[in-house]
Amino acid sequence: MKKNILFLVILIAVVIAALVFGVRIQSVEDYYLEHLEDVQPDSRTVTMSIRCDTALENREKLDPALQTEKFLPKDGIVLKTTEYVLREGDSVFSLLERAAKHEKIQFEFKGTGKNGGTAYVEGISYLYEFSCGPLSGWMYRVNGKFPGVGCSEYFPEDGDVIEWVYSCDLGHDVGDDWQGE
Amino acid sequence: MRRFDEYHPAVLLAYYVSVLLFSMFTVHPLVILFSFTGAVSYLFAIDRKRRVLKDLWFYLFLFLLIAAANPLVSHNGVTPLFFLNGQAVTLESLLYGVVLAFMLSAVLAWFGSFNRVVTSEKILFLLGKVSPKLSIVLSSALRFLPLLRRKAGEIRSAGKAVGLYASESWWGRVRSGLSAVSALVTWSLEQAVETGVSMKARGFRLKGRTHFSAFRFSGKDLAVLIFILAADAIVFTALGTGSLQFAFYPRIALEAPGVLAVISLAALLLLFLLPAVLEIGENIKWRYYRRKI
Repeated sequence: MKKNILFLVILIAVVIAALVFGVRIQSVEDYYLEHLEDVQPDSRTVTMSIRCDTALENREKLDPALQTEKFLPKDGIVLKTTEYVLREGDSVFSLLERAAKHEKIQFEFKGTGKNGGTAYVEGISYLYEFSCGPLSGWMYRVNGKFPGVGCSEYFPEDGDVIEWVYSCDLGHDVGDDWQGE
Repeated sequence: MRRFDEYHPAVLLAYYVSVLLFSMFTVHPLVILFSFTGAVSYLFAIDRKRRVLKDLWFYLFLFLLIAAANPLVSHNGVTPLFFLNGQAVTLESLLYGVVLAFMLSAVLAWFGSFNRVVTSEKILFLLGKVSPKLSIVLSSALRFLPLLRRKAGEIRSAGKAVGLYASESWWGRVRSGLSAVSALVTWSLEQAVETGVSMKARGFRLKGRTHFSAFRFSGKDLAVLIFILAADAIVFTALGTGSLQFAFYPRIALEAPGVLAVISLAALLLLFLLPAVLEIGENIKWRYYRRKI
């Protein structure tokens, strides 16, 4: 009986420790309080844009809950082409996270994307994978090419052009031909 | 009027299939709420209050688990409450979790009454015509666990009487338990063989044998079956045209329901409350007649 109680106490202690050290709770204001560096003439920068034109082109396949104009921008531009200062160790994912926080764009991912963990972007601005047919989801291009690695594994360089695009057909409709024909 | 469990097994089966389908394949909060209310009130009508409450405590635990788990894994929704490790915990996903938890509790409660109302005898009756083999396998499987449990209790008390389980040490208790398990396994193997032999002796699967059943399909059965099928037709039409669709993400759609949605919600409310109403009505009638004696 005493062993059981000891085990229980240890279990509770582990849970509390995990809660205290492994959990970071932020208020909504704190989360969106993102500081961006000003672009200086000598700073290393990349440009990034987020577009969902294909979802608008395939409206008949789109989730009924997203049909209203409130959630999908009419022109397909979630984030217009913007210049961002590149920080040390920035991946495409960390740039997306920073931009989304600054512009208050909702987005959800799986994984951590930090400290060597990978991340998969499930949805941006309420538009999710599978929201527009079974082959839909978010992809990214760097200088017009699809790198074919996870967004937390790709480290852009000075002057790169990053484009997040929504595909409704595994990338075929946005110019990715990784599968051939 | 009859008690709900006295209706023909085919009617009961049609009822439970439609009720479970409608509870599982729509996330409309009103449908789920109606289903939960119907299932729990029927449980209260047929069983002792304390036992139902004991079940409900277990549901409450599951309920809290699911309601808390959904906002931790799903971060969609326009109303973030706070951010947990860089992901939004939203009002929408919290409410979605609550509705999912209600759905699961409702389905569990329906199965709770199903076990009591559709006895293995009725399952045998329904399946016996279609496939005697399947029905025999099903009925022995359904019977097996309760039987095993009862026998285990018997063996345990017999063991206690001859001095097993007396040892204080951990190893001694394990040894007593093992000897009981060994007796139980031997007994169940023997019982299986005996069942087979006994069934063969009684002529199982001989040609030309007829089936006896105590169930008759009466006019009242037909009336209830027609009611169930009519409700099914209305609700399936509503589901097919998307009238009962309800979206939680990205924003909870609080729109006035259309005519078809209102009609199907009314049909669903009647359908879900049917067993409880029949049972309670019958109880009131019983009390009234007793007072007259």
